[in-house]
Amino acid sequence: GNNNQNTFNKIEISEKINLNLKNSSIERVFELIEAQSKRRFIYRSDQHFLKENISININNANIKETLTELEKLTSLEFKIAGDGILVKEIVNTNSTQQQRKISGTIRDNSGTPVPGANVFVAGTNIGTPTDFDGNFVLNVPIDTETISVTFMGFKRADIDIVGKTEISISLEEDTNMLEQIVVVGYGTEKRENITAAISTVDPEEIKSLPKANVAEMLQGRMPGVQVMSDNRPGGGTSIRVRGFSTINNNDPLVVIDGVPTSNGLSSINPQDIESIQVLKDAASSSIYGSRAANGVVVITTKKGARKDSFVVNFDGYAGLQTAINLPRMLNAQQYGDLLWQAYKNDGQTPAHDIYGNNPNQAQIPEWLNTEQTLPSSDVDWVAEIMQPAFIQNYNVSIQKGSEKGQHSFSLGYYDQEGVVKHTGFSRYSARFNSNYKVTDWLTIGENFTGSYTEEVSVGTNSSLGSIIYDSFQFPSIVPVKDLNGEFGGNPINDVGNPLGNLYRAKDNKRKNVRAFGNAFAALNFGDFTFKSSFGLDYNNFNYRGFSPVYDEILSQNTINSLSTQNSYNYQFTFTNTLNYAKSFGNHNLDVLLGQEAIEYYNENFSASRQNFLYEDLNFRYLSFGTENQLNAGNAGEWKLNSYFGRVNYNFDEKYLLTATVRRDGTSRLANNNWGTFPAFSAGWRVDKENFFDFGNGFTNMMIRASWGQTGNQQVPSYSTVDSYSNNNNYSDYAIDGGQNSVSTGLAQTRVPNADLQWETTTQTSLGVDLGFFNNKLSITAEVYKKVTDDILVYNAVPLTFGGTNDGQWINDGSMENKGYELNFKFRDQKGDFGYDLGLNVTGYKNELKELYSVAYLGIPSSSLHSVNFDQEISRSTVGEPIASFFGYQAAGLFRSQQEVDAYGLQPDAQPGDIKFEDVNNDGVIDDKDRTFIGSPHPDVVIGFNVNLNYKNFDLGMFFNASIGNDLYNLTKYKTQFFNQSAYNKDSSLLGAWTPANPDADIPRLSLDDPNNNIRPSSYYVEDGSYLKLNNLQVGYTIPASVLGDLNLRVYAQASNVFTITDYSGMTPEIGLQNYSSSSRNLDIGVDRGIYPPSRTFVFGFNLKF
Amino acid sequence: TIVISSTSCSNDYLEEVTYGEVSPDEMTKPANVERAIISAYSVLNGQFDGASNAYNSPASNWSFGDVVSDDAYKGGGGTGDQNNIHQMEIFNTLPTTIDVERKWMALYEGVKRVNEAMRLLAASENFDTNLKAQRKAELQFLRGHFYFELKKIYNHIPYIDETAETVNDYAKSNTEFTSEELWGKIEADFQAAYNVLPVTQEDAGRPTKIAAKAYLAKTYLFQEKWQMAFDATTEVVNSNYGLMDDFQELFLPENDNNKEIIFAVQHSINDGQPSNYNGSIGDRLLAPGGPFYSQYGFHRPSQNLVNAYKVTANGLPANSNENLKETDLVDPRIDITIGRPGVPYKDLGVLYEANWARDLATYGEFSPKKRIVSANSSFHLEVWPYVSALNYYILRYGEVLLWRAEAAVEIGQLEVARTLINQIRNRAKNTAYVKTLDGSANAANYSIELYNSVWSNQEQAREAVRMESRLELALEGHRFFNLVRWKKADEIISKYLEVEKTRRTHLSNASFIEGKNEYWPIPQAYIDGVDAGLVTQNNGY
Repeated sequence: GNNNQNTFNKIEISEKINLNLKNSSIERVFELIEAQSKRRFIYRSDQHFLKENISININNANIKETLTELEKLTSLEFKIAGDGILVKEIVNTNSTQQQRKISGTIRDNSGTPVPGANVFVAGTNIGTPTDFDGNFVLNVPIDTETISVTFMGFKRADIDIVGKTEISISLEEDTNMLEQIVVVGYGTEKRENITAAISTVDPEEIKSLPKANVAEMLQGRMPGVQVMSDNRPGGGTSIRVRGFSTINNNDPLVVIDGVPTSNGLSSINPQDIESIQVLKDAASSSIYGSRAANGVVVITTKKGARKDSFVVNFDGYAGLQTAINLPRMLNAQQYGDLLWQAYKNDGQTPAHDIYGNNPNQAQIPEWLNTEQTLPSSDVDWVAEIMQPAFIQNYNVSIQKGSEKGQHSFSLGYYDQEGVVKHTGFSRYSARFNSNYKVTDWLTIGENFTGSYTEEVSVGTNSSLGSIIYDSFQFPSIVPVKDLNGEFGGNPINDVGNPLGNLYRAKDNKRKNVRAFGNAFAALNFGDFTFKSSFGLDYNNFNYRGFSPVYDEILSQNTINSLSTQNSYNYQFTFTNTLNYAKSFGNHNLDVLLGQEAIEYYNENFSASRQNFLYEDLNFRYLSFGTENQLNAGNAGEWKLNSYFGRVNYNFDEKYLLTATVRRDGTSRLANNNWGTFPAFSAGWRVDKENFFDFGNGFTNMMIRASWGQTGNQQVPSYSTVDSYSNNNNYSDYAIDGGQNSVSTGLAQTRVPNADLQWETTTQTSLGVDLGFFNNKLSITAEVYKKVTDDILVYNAVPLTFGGTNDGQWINDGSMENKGYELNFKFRDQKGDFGYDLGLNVTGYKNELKELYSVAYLGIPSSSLHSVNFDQEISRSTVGEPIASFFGYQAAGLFRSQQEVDAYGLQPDAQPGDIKFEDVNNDGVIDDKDRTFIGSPHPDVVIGFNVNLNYKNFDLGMFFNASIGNDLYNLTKYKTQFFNQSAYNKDSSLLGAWTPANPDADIPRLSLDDPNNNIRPSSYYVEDGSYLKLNNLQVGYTIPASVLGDLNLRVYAQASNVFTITDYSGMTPEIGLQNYSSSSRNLDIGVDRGIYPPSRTFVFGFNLKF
Repeated sequence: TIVISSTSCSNDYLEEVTYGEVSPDEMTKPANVERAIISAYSVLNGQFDGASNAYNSPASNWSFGDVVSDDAYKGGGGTGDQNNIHQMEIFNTLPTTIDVERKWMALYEGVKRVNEAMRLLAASENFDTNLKAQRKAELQFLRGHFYFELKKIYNHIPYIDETAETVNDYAKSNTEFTSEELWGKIEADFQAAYNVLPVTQEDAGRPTKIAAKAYLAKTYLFQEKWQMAFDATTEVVNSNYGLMDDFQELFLPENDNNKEIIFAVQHSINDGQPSNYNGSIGDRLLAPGGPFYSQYGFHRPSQNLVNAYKVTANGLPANSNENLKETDLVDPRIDITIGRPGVPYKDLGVLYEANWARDLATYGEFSPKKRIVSANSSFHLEVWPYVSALNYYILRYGEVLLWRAEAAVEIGQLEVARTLINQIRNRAKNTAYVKTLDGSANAANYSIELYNSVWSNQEQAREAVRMESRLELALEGHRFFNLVRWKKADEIISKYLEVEKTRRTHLSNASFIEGKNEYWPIPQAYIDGVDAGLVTQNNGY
């Protein structure tokens, strides 16, 4: 592309310019002239003269007169070139030094001359801009070996001039990293002046990834930023910044266009995103105070172009997803055979309701029911519920604008079928962003998006209610459909036909309408800018879930029912900031003061009825149910009121200091409403020192350090409030003996803690940014230590306090994360071949340092059943990382009776049973021998990015890897143990221990399991390390010469290309049990049958004109 | 003051507004105190939170009282289905077993709600004085019940009363009081309740004076205070309560507050609670399967229990553990208590078939019947969670007669005992027997006669009374606790297992350890949740 193709028409010099300024910077003078003349000054943005102050008084002058006057007041020369004004500083070169002249032409990569580019000798003030034709002439010291060229929007070029007097230079387009503008809290900052730990990812790199949610796209892209996803279309994701800093809520705050969100990212169109920053350390995030302890994700959306003609982008892709690496379950005969084997291992005579009474051989009957409507079959149920699924995404955006105002309008459509049949997600979105410079001193604007999403989802990664796990357990012998065309009933266990369950739920859509955005006004007066923004996040949710009647033998629903849920929530954010920016010589000061009020309210309504006369779609509304009308509704709210400030100071952009403070008031903490969160950071741009002279080899160096505090107040609303309430689950009673009515009871709502306060995270961070070979290679390295004190813990109350309120929110203990982050980027162009490589490496060590109230934390028993079949498999305790796996230490299988006898501690064991270690050496294997048997936290997480381009072809590959994390494969609970005999088993059991297969690692099959092999133990724990080619993309850009003004790129992309891992389950990327429960961080990396990741192939295009 | 007002002004914005919550100062209003008392009753059915697994804390003690005894197996889909209860069944219970924890939580939730309601009641100034005393007595009765349950299950338990104010006040040692002292506290609550409670209550769900007396009798019985137990039952047997005429009708939901019922957990369905958690939620896995019921298939009568209903030619218990044959004479209560193949099930018009039973191969062909409500009844819920509105009987007159008989035997009044037992048997005898589908004949060879001859000695009398207890109360959650009380748990269960293992392989590894398995362990979560050393684990765990 080439953005300098404007025709340089001769413009009538007719504008009238008025200036009356005292002690204003030249930069400011330029801005005012630009505003009045519609012309643009062309200069290097880092030149010192811009900060010089002058006084100027001009009345009704034309541009030439103005420039002439300006030339008198400064050491500058101007040249009008089209609607640009070239600025040249008259440099007093040292006449005593020997000089030589070098001349040349600067062009862009399509051959068009680049006027206004800066040609200079690095480390000196010798330089010149190129003229209208891209030519320059420069006098340089005789020994100069290299000259450099920079121009906004292009990569810096460093050219060897040894032995040359005339050169021709072709610039590469680029958004140069250091020049990049980074959005920080309540403002922006130049990348090179940032002293805090902020990671960014280029949205262009990820926007074509076939994912619904931008959070999913971030996986592996940034050091210190982990993304966990449950893989279902439109599904749950969690971002973790620098490990897990607390027990409870570890989700970062997400801010879009300055407005904090309450409703997540899945309804935001990723294509609308202009930039994504993750504020990782306290220095950058503490301006967000009480909600910033887990980092802040700052997103800005695309604004209008400063261009008269329309810029139209049309992007799209479409492709196919397939589930991969599906486990094989036993087929019908294998299941029977192994069942017989299990009986025989137990010394019993095999007999089964379906597989018959032949003690020698399990037999498949012709019919599974006496009515002879259900023929036996042999179905691979895991594969049966999967499908190749279509995915498509289209986005069109139109941008237009001028200096006075810009608009951007976009429409997006995303549609993803699930690889699990009858599931899917689609999104329709529209965005309109605009801003108008009404007068010199007033800018108003808005960013607004509306979206509608629709999702049909299924439960995954929960031990109860996971359709994936159901398909593992459903008998292979059952046909998909019976002779009557109904879904095959299950005569062996209580799992419903997985396909039947999916089919019946296919119209149960979760529908969200979301409106999100803000309106703002900015006032400029002198060095002050006042900005006021009113933000809205509104979400409306509707769900109608219908359960039709079905009879699948052991799984049935005898009465149909419909439940409807409606809920909405809104969040208002009112933000006011005052900014003061001023330079005094080399002292640059930028001060921000602000106030912000946030109000959140949600309201829910749900109702249900039973017995619908027809089950057709048009009957699936509440009014048509004839029985058992029920309804419910509730509401909640919270508020924040905050004051904050920031001072940025730098000396000559060499020594940089930032201090921020935020004072937050929250409605959630009755007696401790207010908290204060300070932070400081400092940076030293070593490369700007005179002694820093390493030529081209070592070109950039910044050392920075920060310290700061952030808070977390993410406890449920009202945690401090003592009250009583009715809960019809457990507080009503039929005191009068009624059979269909109860009296209303009031029970204590919760165990309140009026003295609850913030948890505070104190983070110290040290970083260095290095650039080598003219910044072809850039390296960022950071180390940090994060200590969270007064951790908000839902502390179990003594078990004698009952079970209704099983815990109380308290401040307890502390947690520490120590980590490092490395980021390498290397880019180069050799002729037609260009490449860039990116490698990021992250490691952290999480440890719970102190816990006073209890010995350990775990999932509360009220949810343990549905999540883990009541198995306690994770604990969080002092000295261990959060959510460490906990259980018996399995030490392989007993190979012989002698081994059992010799061991002596497991009298019930037989050869082929698991040997458990007597961890505390007390001669008994009991509860006290349970110990920590693994950690779900990786030692190292790696992301590796390769982009190659040759002429018009480009190739991108993205790898990610995780090393050293363990997984707890809880799917084995039902798929490997025959005391759960009714449920189908994994085909790996064909290799279970038998006397004939004495070297097996899988315990002997037993219905009775006298050794309790099934107990939580390290037998379930596996190494979860992996390396994955996450994404592979090949593109071709059709040369501009072919399509005229059209800029078209087509590409093909494959996701999830391969994964190298020893993990036996479907995928080693497991994440959390779910993404909404409060205890989700206490149970990480437990596999209960997660939605399978899909391998996706898409073809796409980017069209621009 | 100006500073303060400006601060409070900015804090107004941060004031929390709760929705649908009643503040503590509103709670001492009489109407709200009543509601707090209702919530104390509410937890009687074992449902104390939003979780769907009240079967781990069932009011009926089907798992704690029957599955661990010689009366029933766990059932369900194999030993792994609710494996925790399987572990209990084979006496491999651990302090971490979920049932151990959930049952404890349910009962102590009751204790806490009683304590809270008592404090509110005491603080309520406008509460009618007479009613106040009565409500307090009801609460004491409830607390007595919760602690009685705790005592019989966990033995050494922390005791916390209404003087506890904070959460920390609930962290108590389980050795603070001796067993005797604990019984004394339980007695004291029932005695206080007895002193104040009225003879009749307007609300069927509230305990009466007689209920308190009956519970007091049970408390004495568990302490082998035989004379006191006998005396206490005197007032009960002479009260307005009496035996229901028909044994089968006794367990119909429409009769579940009949004259035999002294105190019951009141169950209700289709009352607006979406999950029907006010129904018999702890028993939601007991549905027997077949064409009318969901097939969870738990709580399955043992072969041993079936055999126990065999009678001799003169209609008295045969005391034989040989497998019952079709032609054998049986006590008619068998087909009211147990679903047997070939016998009509309830009023459904069909025969119960072996294939109704889930995991037939493991748990055999029998299903529970006594406390299962007919699928034709509107008090049975056809949808999840498949519960019913049939109350669970905590105290029934029939049981009090059995206690009285026991006490009579122990104090040497064998004839009194025999009369009492005959009263029970007579009712069974005069019950409408289960008929064949066409109603033309009895569904089996029923025979039941009274003990017409004098018991020759105390031991024979004791055996007869205990046998009658088993037959009459089967599958009502009492068997195991009675075995423990009689100090027969080891002997009877070990003998039972020896034979039953040969019939049902899921028991292969079951063995009862005397001195340990009579009680459940203190939940590990309690031990871990309070100061180290505060709690002493029960013997053997």
